[in-house]
Amino acid sequence: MKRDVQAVLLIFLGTALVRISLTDLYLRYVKAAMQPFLILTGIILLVLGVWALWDVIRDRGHEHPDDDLGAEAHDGHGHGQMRIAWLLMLPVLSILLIAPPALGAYSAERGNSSVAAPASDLGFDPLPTGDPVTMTLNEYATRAVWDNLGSLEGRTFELTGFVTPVPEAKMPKDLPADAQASWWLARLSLACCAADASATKILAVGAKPLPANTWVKATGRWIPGGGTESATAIPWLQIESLESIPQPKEPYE
Amino acid sequence: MTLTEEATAAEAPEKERWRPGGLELFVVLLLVVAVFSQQIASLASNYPGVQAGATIFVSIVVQALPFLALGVMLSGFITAFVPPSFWRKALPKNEALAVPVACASGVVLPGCECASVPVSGGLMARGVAPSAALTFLLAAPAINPVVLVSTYVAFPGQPEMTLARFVASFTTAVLMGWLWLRFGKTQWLRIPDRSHLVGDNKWHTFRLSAAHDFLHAGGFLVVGGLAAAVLNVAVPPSVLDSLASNPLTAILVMAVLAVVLCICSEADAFVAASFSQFPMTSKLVFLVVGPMVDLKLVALQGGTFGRRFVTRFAPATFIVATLTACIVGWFLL
Repeated sequence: MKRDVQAVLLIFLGTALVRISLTDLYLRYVKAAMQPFLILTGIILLVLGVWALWDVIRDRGHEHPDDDLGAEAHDGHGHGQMRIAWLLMLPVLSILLIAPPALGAYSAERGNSSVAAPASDLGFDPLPTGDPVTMTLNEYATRAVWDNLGSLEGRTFELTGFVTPVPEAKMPKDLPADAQASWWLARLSLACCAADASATKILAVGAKPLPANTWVKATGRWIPGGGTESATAIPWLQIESLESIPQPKEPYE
Repeated sequence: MTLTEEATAAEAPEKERWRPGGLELFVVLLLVVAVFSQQIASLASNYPGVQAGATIFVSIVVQALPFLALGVMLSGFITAFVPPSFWRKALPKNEALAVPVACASGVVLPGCECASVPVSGGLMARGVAPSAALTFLLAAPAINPVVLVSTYVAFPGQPEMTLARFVASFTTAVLMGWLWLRFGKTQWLRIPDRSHLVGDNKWHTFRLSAAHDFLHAGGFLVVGGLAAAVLNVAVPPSVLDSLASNPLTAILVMAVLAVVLCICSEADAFVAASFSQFPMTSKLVFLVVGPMVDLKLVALQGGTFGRRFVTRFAPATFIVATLTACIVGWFLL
């Protein structure tokens, strides 16, 4: 890779990083805590790129045939190792021009639901007051699966997630005959970046069918079912009302 | 200098490697994708697997870039401002003793593995014993502070993983140094030259070294990110589940994945953590093997030190690293 292209590539990559981290786009890929580091990295790359470009322009007037690429030919590093840098065009193009969407129903359906057991066995705090109680999917699922004192009974909950169609094979067999269910209310959460996304799924009982990836605010009551005390259990929610909403700023929990 | 003269000057010494108008190619690529970005995005939305793969690819790269940038900045700084003679003075005369000291000094060099290949080559070129330089080569990318912090971040609530990674990597690097001291032959080695990265002054050297290492390692990061994204989408979770359920196959699979995926040591902990169904010891094997042996490193080491070296060194490192990680994992995890 020639020196001028190296410089321009660094500038573009830096721009791409600064751009996604100044908007909410970066939240599709990493956690919010990464924002300052992404901005800093973008600035570092911009500085390196502009500096390199300045070098190229400065050398343009002089006799200077021995650029980085030319010199590499003599150092026996193997075959054009800097060609590998061309691959950095892929993230540049996909971040700047396409910005793939946050993971959704496809990933949620494939992955096992993971409802980790609570860290302490001291039991759950009392539910906050309010009607309905606003919770994350993971909080609801953790209580539904691991709280054997029934703290969810008799309350109404408001949960936000996206529609994930339930494949035929995974539809629970013990669903009451009069209950309708065709999708999971799902939300993904990240430990670090989208490569390690894990899904929380809740069966939306009594909900009308909706297209995959529709974001909804669901209000409903806890009903028993879906299994307890297992990390892969998928608890149920008797839906009372559904409101279609735009994708939240932070798509992951 | 006219355009034709410039072209001839660049073309003459290396006809087949000269890329006609790299900058033009860059612009054309950018324009094509800019014009068709809507079509590409809507085409991808028909294939949710492809779309998910693209998201995973971008997120691995975005997550890793800050760590990579930090690594090349610091290694560029050390390359430019710490004189090579410092390392020679700092190391004991006794080679067997120099190996663990070199390993410990690897802790303070936050280069990723791509950076440590040229650095250790430079150390050898300046008279550091090959056994110590090779130990440094293995230790620097595996146990430097950036890597340990990113491991700590990637395994929230499991600090024992960071400790196990440190212990297993340190042990492997020292064992390999001693093995080289006992069995290695200098004529297998070809000492590299990094002179094209020496600039007009120290800051210029810093700039050249940081930019070169970033672009070089960044390219290999893209390879690793692509491979990880494809595996993530193409391999059904049930296959990995069944491989992960047997501890022995889990260890073998993760060791091979570490070699195949070629993920930079600053980012590999995040990828390891994403293999949530695999047992902890097999993830440790992944973290210990990855920074020491992978496809891009084998290519780099082969290019730097010669083929006769890499065909002996890489397999030996793979075996020692896997066994050490298993033993350490048995005790610590």
